[in-house]
Amino acid sequence: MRPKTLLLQSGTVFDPVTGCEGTRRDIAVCGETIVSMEHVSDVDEIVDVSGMLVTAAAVDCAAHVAFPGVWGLRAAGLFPDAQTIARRYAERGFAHVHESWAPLVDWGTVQAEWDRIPGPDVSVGLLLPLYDLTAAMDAQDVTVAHSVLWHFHALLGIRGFYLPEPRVRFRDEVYKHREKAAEEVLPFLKAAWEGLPGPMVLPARSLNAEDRAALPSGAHVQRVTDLNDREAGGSLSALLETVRPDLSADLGLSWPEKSVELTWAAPAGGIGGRLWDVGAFLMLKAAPVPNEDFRNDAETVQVLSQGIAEGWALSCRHANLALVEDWEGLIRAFLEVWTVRQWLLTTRAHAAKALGFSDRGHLGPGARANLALYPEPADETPAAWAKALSRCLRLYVGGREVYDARLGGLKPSARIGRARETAKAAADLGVLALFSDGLSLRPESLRRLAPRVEGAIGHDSQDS
Amino acid sequence: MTQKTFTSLVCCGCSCLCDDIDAVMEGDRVVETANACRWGAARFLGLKKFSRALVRARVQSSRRRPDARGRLDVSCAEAVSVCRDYLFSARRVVAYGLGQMSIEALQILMAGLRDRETMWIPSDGPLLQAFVETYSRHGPALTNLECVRNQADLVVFWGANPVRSTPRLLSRYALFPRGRFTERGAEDRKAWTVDIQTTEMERVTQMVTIPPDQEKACIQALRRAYRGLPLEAPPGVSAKTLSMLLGDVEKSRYRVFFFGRGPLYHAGGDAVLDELASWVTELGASAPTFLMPVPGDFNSMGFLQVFLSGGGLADPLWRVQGDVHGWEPRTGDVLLALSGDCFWFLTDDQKRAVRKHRIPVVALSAHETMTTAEADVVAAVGLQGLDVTGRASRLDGVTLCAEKLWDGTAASDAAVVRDLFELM
Repeated sequence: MRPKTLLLQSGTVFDPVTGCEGTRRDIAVCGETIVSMEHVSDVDEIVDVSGMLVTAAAVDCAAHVAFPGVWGLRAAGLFPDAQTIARRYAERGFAHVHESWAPLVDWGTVQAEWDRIPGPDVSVGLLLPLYDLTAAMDAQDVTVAHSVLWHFHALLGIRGFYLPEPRVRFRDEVYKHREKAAEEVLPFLKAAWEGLPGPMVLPARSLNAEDRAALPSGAHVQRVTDLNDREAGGSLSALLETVRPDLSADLGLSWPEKSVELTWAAPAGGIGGRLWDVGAFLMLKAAPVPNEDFRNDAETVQVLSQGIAEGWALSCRHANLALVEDWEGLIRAFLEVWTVRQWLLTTRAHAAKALGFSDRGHLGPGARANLALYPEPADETPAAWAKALSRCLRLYVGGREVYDARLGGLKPSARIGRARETAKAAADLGVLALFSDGLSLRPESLRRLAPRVEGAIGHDSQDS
Repeated sequence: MTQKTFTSLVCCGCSCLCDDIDAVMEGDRVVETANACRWGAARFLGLKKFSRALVRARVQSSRRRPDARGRLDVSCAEAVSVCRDYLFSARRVVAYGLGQMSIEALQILMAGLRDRETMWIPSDGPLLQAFVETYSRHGPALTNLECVRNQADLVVFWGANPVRSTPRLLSRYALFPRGRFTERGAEDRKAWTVDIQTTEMERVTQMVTIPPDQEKACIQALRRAYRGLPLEAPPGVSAKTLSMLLGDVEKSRYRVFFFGRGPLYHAGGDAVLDELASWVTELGASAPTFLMPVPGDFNSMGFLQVFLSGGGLADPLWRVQGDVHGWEPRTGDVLLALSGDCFWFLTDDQKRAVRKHRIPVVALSAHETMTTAEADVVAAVGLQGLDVTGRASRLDGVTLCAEKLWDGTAASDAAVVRDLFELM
């Protein structure tokens, strides 16, 4: 069957990647992909979008939405329900959310939670307790480690590899004599991850100065302003070190709102707050966001400007961008410091690039048809732009309209996981068994957790 | 007859959701199991949970009751149609059970009952309700059973008897197994049970028995002593035993408190949980300390996850009724008995009220129960992990998929619930 062709006619297109910054033109979508106008012959549907800004849909590249233990936060009233998260993402124009990590044992939990959140495309990063790879590290056998990671990618459809901290720590009273430092661990993992989709992600909070020096090219630093030694007086210099053209990062803007952030914190020295152990020797901690405003630190803003120029993406300290309640206020604050072009880059192209997507975050031919339409701003002030960019009128995910602000918001057909990475290979249970020491789950159970409902990214799977 | 062996099956017998069950099949029935507890084996073999000599009767076909005595077998579609009619005219839906449904079915059910006045009575209601209320006040940490197995060096069962609720919790996760950092299994763990009476747990853990009205006082005494004040044991509790328990708490590096339904059987049980959660949070400042519920039904945590994720607490038309005895049947109610056996637990007054107000009883069930015997309409559904595939959440919230063993004609609960709401 011929894919449907959709024409968004006469919109005001803002897409810094293709050089459109207020150009009035048409966007053609064939199936789930944006196509060049020259290749359009028959059009099935024409939508008049005159008077609207047409942009690529935004990408949240550093989200924690479906982590284990989220039910506890919900019971405490600290985390919104699935529908609220979906609505907020949609009305802000987000069509892709990257769940930064899921441990193997919680893979099914994360998938089930995302099934309840209608709206955007989803990708999920893998979190492995690194001690499962230490035998390979000791033998410097990259092939084995690569095979394991490739297998998990193929089976579970992972994108990106998340390291809570760049070292392997062993429980003190048992293995006091063993610890692997960043300079040993990171190059090995970089080689093991080679060729697999998505970046190796490390939270900035877990990085000290030596770790930063050991970061391999292509690594992604999450919430960069959250560096752990900033309070020790190294704030600006520490941040400057992370502005390396071979690294990507997201900003981790501090934004004064009542919300929670999820951080990794070592048990030593007190572990109050809400905690989940996820299999590493670290605790995931949900804590109130500190009441700070990124604009109050001029030096940091200066470094962030440099970082944005290098390709850093937008993120806040909050566990995900849907938790930010005053979204318009955040955009206005951003635009008082930087430009609309930089807003669009940080929320679209840079965020997509950080995840290794070449078909997201822009409106060039071949891009996935994730589009967000906003009203045109009343004037050129940050306030007017913020008002416009905070109210998505229509959201298209994979060429399908999933949200229309004027027709009641999310459409009933806005099912999640329309595009979600899925299993690409049959399970080799022998490889999964390598992890059975740390897991009590049988390898067969992991095979059953492989996403199998939806089609692969780029394929129609809404009604599967 | 040819036998076929399946390995690593998921057992939906309780909230442990053991995934290491092996089964031997002959045709479309299981004739032997390995690794399963007695309950799990009974489920696979089609026997009664507590008397394995008896076959557990299955609902063979959907049916309706045209009059007080009659019983008319109908197709599943017809049964669903009758259910739909009842629901359509209901002023309030009373959804009972829920803890033995698949996550898929629960999601469809909650989407279907959105904007309808609904009283949710999960069969593990008292425990779930108490936990939700506790989490709104305290933030006790959560962990998963993998970490318990690998790291916990102190496990405390407070008002919980896993032997009677989750039989393999002790052998697979919490007490006996060797973990990554508990290489010697039970030798590497201190284990305690605190209960109002001596239970089987006495054989495998140290036991503290306390009077029912002294549970909160007991926790308060432990808290004070933990802060360095003298230990003042409440009346009826051995100071020496409490002191030993406290010593193990102080020495441990990874503590897990399993909380069962025990204290919630008496008034003031919520306050016990509240005090315990508060202490666990306080203990978390010195070493990882976790509080975990021990529900009985295999998907009680799945219900909780779907309910909270779906904004159930904020919906003004929805109410969770932890204790089924708190339901006062009234005209306009429709009782939707979704797994479990509601009539087993109803009081005689409640049963009389159901009849007096002519409250339609709609049952979705795989087994014959007192509820299916009373129901106006019964929709037969398949057993998860045997007849049909479905997902469920273990007691620590880890979601697993229980695949069907054979291709039968039984409908899944998700399919029946989807049909139910499709045309409404």
